[in-house]
Order: sequence, then structure tokens, then C-alpha cells
Amino acid sequence: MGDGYTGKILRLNLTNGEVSTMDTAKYEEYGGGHGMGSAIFWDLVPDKTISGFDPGNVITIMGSPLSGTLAPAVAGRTEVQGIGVQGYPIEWFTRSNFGGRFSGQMKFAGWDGIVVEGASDKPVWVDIRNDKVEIKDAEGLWGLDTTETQEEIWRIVQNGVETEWRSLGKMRDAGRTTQRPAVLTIGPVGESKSRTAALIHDSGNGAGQGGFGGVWGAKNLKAISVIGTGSATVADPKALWEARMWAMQYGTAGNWDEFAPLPMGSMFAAAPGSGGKAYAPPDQPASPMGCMGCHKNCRARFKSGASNASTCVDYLFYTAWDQAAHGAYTQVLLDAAEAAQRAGINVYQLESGIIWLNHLYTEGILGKGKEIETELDFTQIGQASFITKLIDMWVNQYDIGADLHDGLARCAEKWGRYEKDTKTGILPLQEWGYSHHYDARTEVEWGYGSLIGERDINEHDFNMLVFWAPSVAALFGAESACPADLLATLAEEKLTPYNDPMMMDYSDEGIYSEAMAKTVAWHRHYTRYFKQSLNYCDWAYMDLFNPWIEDGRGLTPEAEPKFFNAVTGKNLTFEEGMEIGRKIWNLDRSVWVLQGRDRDLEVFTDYNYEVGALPGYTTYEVPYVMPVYENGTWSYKSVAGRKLDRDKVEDWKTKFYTLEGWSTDKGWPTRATLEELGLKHVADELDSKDKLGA
Amino acid sequence: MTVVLSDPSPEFAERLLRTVGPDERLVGMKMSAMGGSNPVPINTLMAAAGFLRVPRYEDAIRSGSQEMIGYIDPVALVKWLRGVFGDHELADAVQAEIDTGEVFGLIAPRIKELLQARALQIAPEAESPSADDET
Repeated sequence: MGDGYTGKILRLNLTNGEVSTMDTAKYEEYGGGHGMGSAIFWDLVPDKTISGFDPGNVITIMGSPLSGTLAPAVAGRTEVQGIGVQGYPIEWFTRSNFGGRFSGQMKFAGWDGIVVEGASDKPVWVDIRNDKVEIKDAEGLWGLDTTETQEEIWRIVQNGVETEWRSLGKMRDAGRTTQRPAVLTIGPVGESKSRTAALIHDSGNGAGQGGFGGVWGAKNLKAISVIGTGSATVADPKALWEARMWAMQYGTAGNWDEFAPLPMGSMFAAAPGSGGKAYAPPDQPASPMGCMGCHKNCRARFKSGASNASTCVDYLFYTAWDQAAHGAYTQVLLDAAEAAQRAGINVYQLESGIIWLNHLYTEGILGKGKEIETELDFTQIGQASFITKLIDMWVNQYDIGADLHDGLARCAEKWGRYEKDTKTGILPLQEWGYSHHYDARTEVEWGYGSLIGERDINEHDFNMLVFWAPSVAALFGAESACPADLLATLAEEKLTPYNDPMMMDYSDEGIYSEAMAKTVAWHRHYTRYFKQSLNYCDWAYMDLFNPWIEDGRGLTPEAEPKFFNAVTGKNLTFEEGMEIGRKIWNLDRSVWVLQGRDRDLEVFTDYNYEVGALPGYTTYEVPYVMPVYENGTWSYKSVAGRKLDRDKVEDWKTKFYTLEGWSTDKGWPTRATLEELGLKHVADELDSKDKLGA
Repeated sequence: MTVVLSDPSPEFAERLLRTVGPDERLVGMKMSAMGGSNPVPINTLMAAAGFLRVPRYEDAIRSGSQEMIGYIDPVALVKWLRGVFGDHELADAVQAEIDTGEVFGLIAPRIKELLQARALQIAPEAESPSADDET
């Protein structure tokens, strides 16, 4: 029995090579993951205004009490934080998150998380085998790609012997496991301190946003490897097992044939392998694959082995070009994903970068003999030769890659194009130098959350319900599985503490309303705690609507505290979790304020105000269909072509700041707000810097 | 596909093969549940034929799907074919699909066939849409 925590956090000082521990208990009120990471960062980084490349930057890599347990869609996820180097114009304190099995192995090795401080004067990697931790010379690893690095570390840890059982010591009771070490590593682009570098784990898992790969490069940290022979302790195993069985009613089919005909729309529902079922190229048989403990297994392994387990934009960043060139998904996109992942590059920057560069090429600005000189052959876009050449330029910093290496925003600034190209939108950076992912003009909860935060939120829960499901249904002449009036009812019932049906109104008036401020606040608080601190996967939670249940009620808000309580033995309510999320959100906000954040900085790039959401000129069905409340009725309606109104966005910000208890002139947390949340020490720090909201 | 497109003359085929500039391009929409919605510039008829992609509804709608919808507004496509390329025959054929009143998910595969048929006429030696081993 236990409480899900191991009780200790590993602390690594790369400057002096010191290995020490911290007591988890000091930070347990934050749950785990992001909350603990923010609190540790606050305590260990006295000057929050330093560059992410500064040795004083602290990186936290955190699991949660649910890591390594049977709780579904959470056990393998890991949260990473610190000052990122991707943010523009300021390197915001930021976060990223990845799946796989790293946090589970940390748990099995006896660690709730890892804190990395300082910088080594030569390349190193960290070898963690249960409680034995060594900082080792990485001379033999430096220069290897992310796959090669992991394979080499496996070889080292396994003493070059490939066996089914691995012993972690010479003593008979030293512990044995069938697992390989879980390795988190950077590739060549991280070694060269790029702002576009990711952390890569296994195949298909990356902490891409934030530029943490470049931060590791600056610290001369190539990789962290962890393997453990312990287990996750659970306070009430029977309750955890029953909770998992209870959750199965929310949509777990035995196979794809059973699953596919059912109405979609639930985040939680899945059949093992269903995620990978559809997207393999025609000649690529795929087998299901998933993160530790997950019921969804949304990934796939392919016959060719290229880009195994890659999902999301890892897999998707080159699809449009492959499709345009070949009329179908082909091996090219798998090879593109493989090349990007081996280099350890943030594929969001690649995706937006290709769109932007192609615009510049067709406008005659970029190319051989043009204003921006390049040897890159755009007649080959969509082919493997194009993407491998671009990645090679990016990684090795030659041709246009020398500038792209610093991230799209800074590259555009250097080329004198940032203002112009974010005004027209051909450089699709929505806020803070992050790529346009979902559209701020239509899916406003996504845009506002990113703007008031520090990065593209990349949280799909609302988005799936309010945009994707109704928009795709419209393209196919189907009804969205969740009628708009039911969606509003579910918001009223489940979105505690606001419980306002108008939170789902995405009409031209609704997007500037106080109710939309509630939507964004709810989302920020929910995700900060449940998704980023307890590490519940974004692609399973929240589950607001679920067509597998007769009345359509999804497993949020019952599931989130149910699993947590079974593991920890605590009696947390959903409302209490939301309040912890609010506390973490305010702590993060305070760091950003110290870094220079104020109201005037929180504006989208110009295209969001000046160009309609494409394709706004259409008269046909358009893929921007969202819930609206008009004339006393809920319905789904096209909002294509919409631009944001600058004055109304400013009014909305005032509503949001007021709701959060921040000053409306600056957007800074007030003393009253921080002290109510138990953050008096944070208020004192802001006060001492004249940054406290009044 | 019920319409059989007449063979374009060599001169007209040449015109249909050109790469158009930024003022004449078509903008498609790459839509994927995980990857988001991003406008994609389309500068050739061949690229339009390739880019248009309509997966099965149940594959596209699923949470966590890796599918991509390659969306091209059919009305905008007709205007583009007619106004930019002067391909009235192909534009009329696409317009006939629109006139059926059926939804995008149903007419898009037929429009893709039309575009691919024209692509094959003007560049028979080009990669087939199923080419898969370019690497």
C-alpha cells in the first residue's frame, strides 16, 4: 500500500555534478506534474528574467501519483517545464508534455520527478538505475540522432547483452525487469542550441514546444535514462480496479469493427488500435501501439518501421504536401516524420515554416537568385528530397537553415518580414511565435487561452466538441453526435464552478462575452491541474459528452478525482482540483509578470484582426461550424470568414482579468487574489518588484 | 465519374500545367483533428488534384484521428478553373457536381476524379496518384 508518491524528487546539478534529493511532500499540495514543477521553479530560480539558455534556468521533468498505475490514459505521461527559448518576443516560462513510459519508469525507479540545474562544461548524460544515479560523459553520444542515442544507451545499460530479463546489479536481489531504459534525449538540432529543438523519448513521443531541446543543448545535457525495478504504490488497489472497470462503459470496444459504426464525439472512447487503424499508407500494415497503461492505444507501428508510434503533427506536418504531390498518403510522410524525429526538431515550426517558405517562393521573394537566396528546390515540395534537404539545412545551419534554426519568428524578424507576413497571415504564427494550430478567430477558447497563457495550448477537449465534430459532420451532411442544446446543458451541469450554458456560445457576440471568459478560465484551471499536474492525457480528458452513455453524459467530472483518490487514498473533490488548478495558473501568471508580461503585450498577430478565417469567401459548406445561441435557440452555424474585433477583444480581456482577480490595467494578479490562493510569498515577490496588480 | 473530358490541345495543356502566382492561387484547408486547420496554398492544377482528400466520415470524426481532410471549396474551385485556367469544360463538370445539391463528403471524391482525369490528360508521364516509393 502507499499513496502513489515515491516521496522523493531527484535533483541534478550539472555545474558541479552534485546529485541530491528533494522531499516530494513539500510540494504535494500541487498534485504532481506542472503544479510541482511551477512551485519548484519558483523556489529555485531567484531571477525569473534570465534567458532559457542561462545555466540558472531550472528544468523540471515530473510524473504524478498516477504515473505507472492502472489509471487509464495517464500512467506514462510526463510534464516538462522551465524557461523556454521558443517564446517571442520574450522567452516565457513554459511547459511541454509527452507520452510513452518515461514517468512510469521514473516511478518504478523511485522518483516522482527530476530537477535539472546548472550546466555542464562538457556533454553529459544521466544514467538512473533505481536509486543509483550517475552523471556520465556523453562524448560517445554527442552527434548521434535521437534514435541512435537511445539505442546506444540501451546497449550501455544492458552491457551489450540483449536478454528478456535485465538485472540492475550484480546482487541476486538487485532487481530485474523486462523493460528497456526509458530515455529522454535531444538530437543534433538540440545540441546546436536551436530554439526549435525538442526532447524525444522512444519513438513518437516528443516535448516539442518551448525549445527545451535547445535548453538541454545549452546545459550540455544529451539524455536522461531511467530504469526501475520497483512498482507504483496504490492506496486502494480494489477501488482503482473498480474505477477502471467503471470507466470502460464510456466507450472501450474490443476491436475496430465494433467501434467504427458508433457515433463519435467522445474524447475517452476508443478501441485498442483504432487510432492507428485508419492512417497508414495503403501499403503499410499497421499494428496498434500505445502509451503505458492506456486503453486507447492511439498509435501505430508500420511495416517500414519509419515514424513508428508518431501521431499528431509529428506525423501530420508533411501530409498536405505529400498528398498534393502524390494524391495519397505515401511512404514520404513516414520518412519525413522519421527524419524530423531523429533530428529532434519541433515539427510545428516545420509545418508552419513550409507554408511560409512556399508563400515566399511563389511570390518570387525566396529562391535561387532571389531576395532571400536558397538552393532549396521548391519544385520538389511534397517529395522526400525536399523535406530531407530542408531538415538538413535546419539542423546544420546552412543556407536558409541558418536563420530558421532560431525559430520562425526570429527568422522573419531577421529577414525583415515579421510585421508584413503576420499581417497577411502567410507566416502563420498566432501568438508568442507559436504556430497557428487551431484558429483564434473561430475556436476562440483555443486562441484566448494561448494568448493569456504563453504558448499554443494544444488542448483539444473543447475543440473536439465545439469545432471538429460539428464542422466535419457538416462536410458529410451528418448531424453532430452532440446536439448544440445538449452541449449547453452539459456545460451548465459539468463545468463547475461556473455552470453556465452560455459558455458554449461561439456566436459573434458570444466570443466576447463574460461567459466566454468563464470558458477560458475553466479551461486554464482544469488543464493546469488535471491534465498537466496529474498528467491525464489531452486525448482522453475532459470527456464532457459521450455517445456511448444513454444520456450522453461523459465521465468528467467524476473520473478525474475517482482515479486520483483511489491511488492516493485522499478524498479530493473535482471542485478542489479546479481550485488547485487556479492556484497553479496564478503562480504561472506571476512568473510571466516578473518576466515582463502586461496587458499591452497580449495581442494576437495582425492577421487575426485583419484577415477572415479562410476560406471565408465560400458559398459552400465550410469547415468552421460552431455552437451559437441566437434568437433563443442553440444551433450549429458557420462562422467562417470571421475576423476578431480589436476593441472587443480588449473588452473581453477586461472581463477575463476581472474574473481572475487581476488588475484590469495591467492584467497582474492582485495581493488579495494571491493570498486567497495561499500564495502570499508570491504576492510579496511581485510587490517587491512593483508588479503587483492594484 | 460520368463525364468524359475531351482531350485538351497541346497549347491548352501547357496552360493548364502552369504554376500560378500568389494573386491567382487557390487556398485549400488542411484539416486534421490533432494537427488543426491550416490554409494551404495551391498553385497548380496538379496539386489541387492531389490535395483534395476525403477520408471516410468515421475515420475523420474520431477523437485522436490521424486523418487529414484536404478541403477545397468546390465553388472557389469552379471560379479558379474558369477564371485562372480558362478550363470551362472542367469547371462545368465540377459545377454539375455542386448542382446535385449533395454534401461535400459525397461530391468531393467525384470532383477529385475529374481533376485527376484532367491531370492525367495534361501530364500522362507525371507520377501516378498512387506512387508511393519516391524515397
